[in-house]
Amino acid sequence: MRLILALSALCALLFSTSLFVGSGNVGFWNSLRGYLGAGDPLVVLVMQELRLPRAALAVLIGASLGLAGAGLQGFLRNPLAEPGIVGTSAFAALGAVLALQTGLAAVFPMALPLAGLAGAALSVLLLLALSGPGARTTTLILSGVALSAAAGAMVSLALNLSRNPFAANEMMFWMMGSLADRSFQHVVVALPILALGALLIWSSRKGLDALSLGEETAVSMGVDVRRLRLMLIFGTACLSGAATSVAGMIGFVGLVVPHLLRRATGGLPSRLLVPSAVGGAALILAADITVRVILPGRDLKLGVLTALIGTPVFLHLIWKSRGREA
Amino acid sequence: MTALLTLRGLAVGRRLGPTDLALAAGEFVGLVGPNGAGKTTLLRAALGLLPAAGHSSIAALPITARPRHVAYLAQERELVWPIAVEELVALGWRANPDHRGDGMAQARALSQRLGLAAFARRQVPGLSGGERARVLLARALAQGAPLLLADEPCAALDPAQSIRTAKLLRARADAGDAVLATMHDLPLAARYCTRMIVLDQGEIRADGPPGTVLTQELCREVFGVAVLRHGAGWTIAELEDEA
Repeated sequence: MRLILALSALCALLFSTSLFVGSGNVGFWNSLRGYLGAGDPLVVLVMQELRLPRAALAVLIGASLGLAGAGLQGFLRNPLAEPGIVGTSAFAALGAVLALQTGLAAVFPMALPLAGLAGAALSVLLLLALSGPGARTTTLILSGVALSAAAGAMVSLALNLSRNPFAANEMMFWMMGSLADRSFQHVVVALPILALGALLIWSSRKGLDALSLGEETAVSMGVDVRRLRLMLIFGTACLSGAATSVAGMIGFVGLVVPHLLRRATGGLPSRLLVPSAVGGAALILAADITVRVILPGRDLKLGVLTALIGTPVFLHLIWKSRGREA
Repeated sequence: MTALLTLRGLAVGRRLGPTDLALAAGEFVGLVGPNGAGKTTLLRAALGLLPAAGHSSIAALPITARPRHVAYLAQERELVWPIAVEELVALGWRANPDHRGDGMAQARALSQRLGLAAFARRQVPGLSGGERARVLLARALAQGAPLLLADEPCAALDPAQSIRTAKLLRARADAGDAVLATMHDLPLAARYCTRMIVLDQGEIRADGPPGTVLTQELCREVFGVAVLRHGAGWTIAELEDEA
């Protein structure tokens, strides 16, 4: 509980900081007046329509990725698993890229996240069709890897066939992941699906604990593993699919955060869920502040930064697991 | 006497022929047989973990109702997450729908009773194979189910711990529970089990009190060893024609 409180306090601090950091040199008091709806109308617009939804999305997406990562690692009993492993993120990205490629996103801005969500939904259907509802873990992972590869190939094809370099650029930059220029409409589109995903993962917590002892022991402890598997797949798909749909590809958060917090929570998968969600929110908030501070005006992408942070941690994990196998 | 487990014609492909079995309260049954005889298959099929023909009174129950009736100690001893011993034992307590609370106090008491106190606060993945086996058995016992199916509960244990574990399972049976455990140590099983079942090539070859089951002919034929009885104890020896 103390860990959750500490992470929540950190999150609140970073959220507040995020509200007052940006490219416009507005100043603290003017920003505050803007949030309260007073002062320069342009400042009011920037604060209420850009920075506030940006900070809110950072919390939602970070929490979703952290929660999905903790749930999926618990389910697969593998600390190297991350939400993207089931292929949903790649398909959400494909959906969004197609919305850009076809020009749909230019006509109707919300087509981009909606197409991402459609891609995520399609990936779940394909995953279940490919691996079957009672699939074993290895089949599930292999199916996810195959789907990710297929989606990656189709994204490359879309880039390859893009009508002009600007369209290709737009797709490339979108895929790098960012929270810039998002509105409350994005929050409204993502929130119900993220909430459903969070509910599904949270409801699986007792089953995840039993699964720590192996699938057969879990069944003997009253866990319907087939049902648990479906809940985890749908939950992860909702969380990572909706997150990717509104923010692009933001990798490593779902991998790194649960790993960093696992020992502090005592190892039980159920105890890791809430801290990972809060920790994920804190990490995305921190990363989103960082991209605005270290290279102002250069639009450093959030997904690039999280990958830069995540890769060394991932390598460290591999190094450690190599030591265990030796 | 109430049967806590009933199998009627339970069969799994070529691995287990149609098997009938009834296990009553107060019995500690040692399921013995050479490697590949079908012992684990029988346990798994009885629990409903394998697609099987025939009837098992446990597999017929809804999954969520099973923890009330049966606890299972699987052969798998691997644990990925850094969970502390008492926390793991408490998972067993929490699995039983009749139990309330987080089970930490019960887990602590059980850990002390089973001699796990010395490493109760350590994390399970850091324990030795034998210590881990004892913790996992404690987890199964914490469930408080009247029937325990244990797959090689004495595997990886030193001789003293093997005896303690066999005595513990016998005490459970004497207290009114039923235990069905696969075992490889014939003298240990014969010493502490109330009943032994010899399984060979998926078929029950003998079933009864240890004294009547472990005949020279059967042990020679099924296990390829000689068995010697002296008082209450048993030893196994190499067959004379192989010596």
